[in-house]
Amino acid sequence: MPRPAKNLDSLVRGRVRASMSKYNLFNLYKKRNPFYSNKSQFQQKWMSKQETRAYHGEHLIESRFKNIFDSQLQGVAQLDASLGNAKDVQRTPLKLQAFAALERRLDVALFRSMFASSVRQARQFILSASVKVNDVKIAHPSYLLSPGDVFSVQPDKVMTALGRTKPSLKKSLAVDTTQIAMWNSFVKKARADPKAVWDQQQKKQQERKELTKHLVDNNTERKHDLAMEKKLKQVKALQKATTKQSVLRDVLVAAQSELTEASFKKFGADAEKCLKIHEMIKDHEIAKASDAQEAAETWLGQKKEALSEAEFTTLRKVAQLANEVALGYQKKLRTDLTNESKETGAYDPDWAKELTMHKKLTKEDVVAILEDESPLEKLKEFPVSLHFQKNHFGLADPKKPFFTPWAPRQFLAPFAIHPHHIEIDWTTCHAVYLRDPVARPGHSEVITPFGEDIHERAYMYYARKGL
Amino acid sequence: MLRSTTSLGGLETASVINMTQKRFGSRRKPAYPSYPTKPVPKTQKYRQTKLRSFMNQFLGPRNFKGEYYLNKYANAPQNHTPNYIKPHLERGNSLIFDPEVREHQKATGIEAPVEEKSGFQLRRERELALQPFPQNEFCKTNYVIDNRLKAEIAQRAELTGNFQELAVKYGIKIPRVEAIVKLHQIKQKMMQEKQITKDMEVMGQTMYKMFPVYNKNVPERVMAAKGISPENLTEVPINKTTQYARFVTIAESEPFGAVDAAEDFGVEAAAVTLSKLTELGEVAFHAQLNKTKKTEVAQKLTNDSQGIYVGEVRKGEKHAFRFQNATVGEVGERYGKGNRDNRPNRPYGFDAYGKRIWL
Repeated sequence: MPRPAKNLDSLVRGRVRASMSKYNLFNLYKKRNPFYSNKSQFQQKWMSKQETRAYHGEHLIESRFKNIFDSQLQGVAQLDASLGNAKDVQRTPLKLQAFAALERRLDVALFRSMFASSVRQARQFILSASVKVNDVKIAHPSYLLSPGDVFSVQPDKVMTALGRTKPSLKKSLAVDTTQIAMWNSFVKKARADPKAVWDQQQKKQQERKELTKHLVDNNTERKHDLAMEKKLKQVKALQKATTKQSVLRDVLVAAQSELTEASFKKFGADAEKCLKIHEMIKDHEIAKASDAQEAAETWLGQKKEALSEAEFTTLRKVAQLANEVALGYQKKLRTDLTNESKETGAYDPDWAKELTMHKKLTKEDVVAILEDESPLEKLKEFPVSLHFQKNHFGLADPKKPFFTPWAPRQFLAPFAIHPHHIEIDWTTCHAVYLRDPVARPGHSEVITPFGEDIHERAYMYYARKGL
Repeated sequence: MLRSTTSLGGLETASVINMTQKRFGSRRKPAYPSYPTKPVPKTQKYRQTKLRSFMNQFLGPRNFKGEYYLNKYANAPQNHTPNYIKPHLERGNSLIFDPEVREHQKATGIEAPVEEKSGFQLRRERELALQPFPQNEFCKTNYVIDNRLKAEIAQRAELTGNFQELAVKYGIKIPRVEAIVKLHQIKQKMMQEKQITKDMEVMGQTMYKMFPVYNKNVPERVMAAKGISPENLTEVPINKTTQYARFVTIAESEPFGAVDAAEDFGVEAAAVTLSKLTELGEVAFHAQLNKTKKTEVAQKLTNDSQGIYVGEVRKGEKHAFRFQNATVGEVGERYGKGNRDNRPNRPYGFDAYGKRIWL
């Protein structure tokens, strides 16, 4: 049995817990540095023990923890340190290893791997037989992992723990109703005054950029530039390869099947000219040649002396037309690329015409869904399809226990710490326990919010003789 | 205090009473924030405690979807740069902008001057980028290995099977290389069996983009600027005997160096430890160091899946019988022995089926 959970997230007490809740984040955010100078030595030890134990193995009763506690602190020495300047070697924070023995426990390892949002939730996952160690189901949170052990959790559980809270049907419908109402009002305004709404949208987008600038990849612009550069190279190569010979070749190849204007779609407005070329050469021998490329080159390369006047006139006309098509195509490639590289923010007066109103979700609809015998079935009769939300809010797949499509929970970032002693794969929800956490110069692998001073005192409390 | 209790003069007696009263008062102080906060609004829609109000100041407003859209820490970063709290650097200013100030600006049309971060602030932010907790400078987040590099390692491991060589080549410790290969195999298997859903992929990618990424193919200088360096492959466990002082009496003229100290402690040379590490592998070596009687037995039980036979399930039968080899005397209880054992903290281990057993 775990220790009873009583007001764990109390803001007045302000203890930091092994949990990702927003209350815990606030308690961590407002945490003050410990103040020792008005306390006796035992008071200091007691206070430190209280603070640290609230985070490390809070769910274990004191006697259980004392049994687990190991006074031997694990550290490593770096042999290459002796090669450099000994003064540069940082201190090894050995005292931060005071609670290292707990990290071997399966429940703690699950929390460290971010497969659960708190140690208590990890415990529940284990007890509900959702966790395997080396492909064997383990239903005991106190299972001690050994180096090399592979452990895994059912992906649905992990997605529930790390994902946003799945909304209730009522909440989801309330959000949908607001979204639809807001969208419809936006469409109405946009139709009435497209320019003003366009400008407003641009401004909003700027604001949104400001809100998320610390989260998105700074390299996006650079990546875009690189992609454009690559495209430019491709276009240049294509332009170089477009000649009157290549156009004639294309006509010959296309002539092998039924010809329409669509056959020369890539040449745009010059498709007609291509058809003309075909008309002119269809009775010549060249049209029957098997190798189109070679035939086009030799035919266009013929000299005036070798041909009759009529034949030479045809050749000249075909060559001229093919040349025109080739030049037109080269120009088209250039303009296409320029249009693509232009910012998409250019104002189009017809933009509002493409917008369509969404069917309203009325109060009666909501009541009908909620009071239906099988509300999830009834929900299908009222689909939501906005361009920014393709399904009902958070209920794309209402049978899943998590927010669908999956999105990370809020306030995950401050608690997302990749441990040094566990290798994790979140896609498969598998992880490997590499070793027991150790301390090395300037670093301790045990993840803890408290400093060395407070750990030292807590260690002194537990390592006392006769305990 | 002691003197005042002994001399019971008029005033001093009073002071004793005061002290006594103080003793029984609660000394627990509410955990108020260490940074300046706004006063609690006097007209509140709902009654709120002071701390609740401070928390709401920290979290910021919510939109109709229930998102704290103005809080700096609410959303997951996707640029391989962790977003850890820095309460002291930002003086408790956890919002991207203050909505009240913004509204006031809109109403008056006066733009507030943009606060530029000082050099000190920027430097500290860079230093603290990988440190999740402000009070613990020794705790740093690890980096993830670049996905392409992982695939490369797994491919090479399949070809050569030499993990030690790979560890040196990529600057990653042997156990981590082994783990990468293991996890890659698991992923491949799950992909073949089509067990990886789209949501799982999205989650994997989101988490991957939240951590700094290590790539051996990127120059070390660039990695070092982000606080990422290859793992130190020359680490050996600190010998327990060296953690305590020991006093030895020696003659003044007797030379005493590192080798003598090692002999005195009964410690092997680091070179020997390192060669053992490379021969045995770090996992096995570590296991050897931590070996205790309890874990040894548990390990034996966990690994010893041989000698277990599962009977055939015939038509109409509900259960499969399991038969296990056993030695008389090592299993079962002596006839007449009481089965009540309520010793506190009785040692236990796990068998090959994950069942907990008493040791």
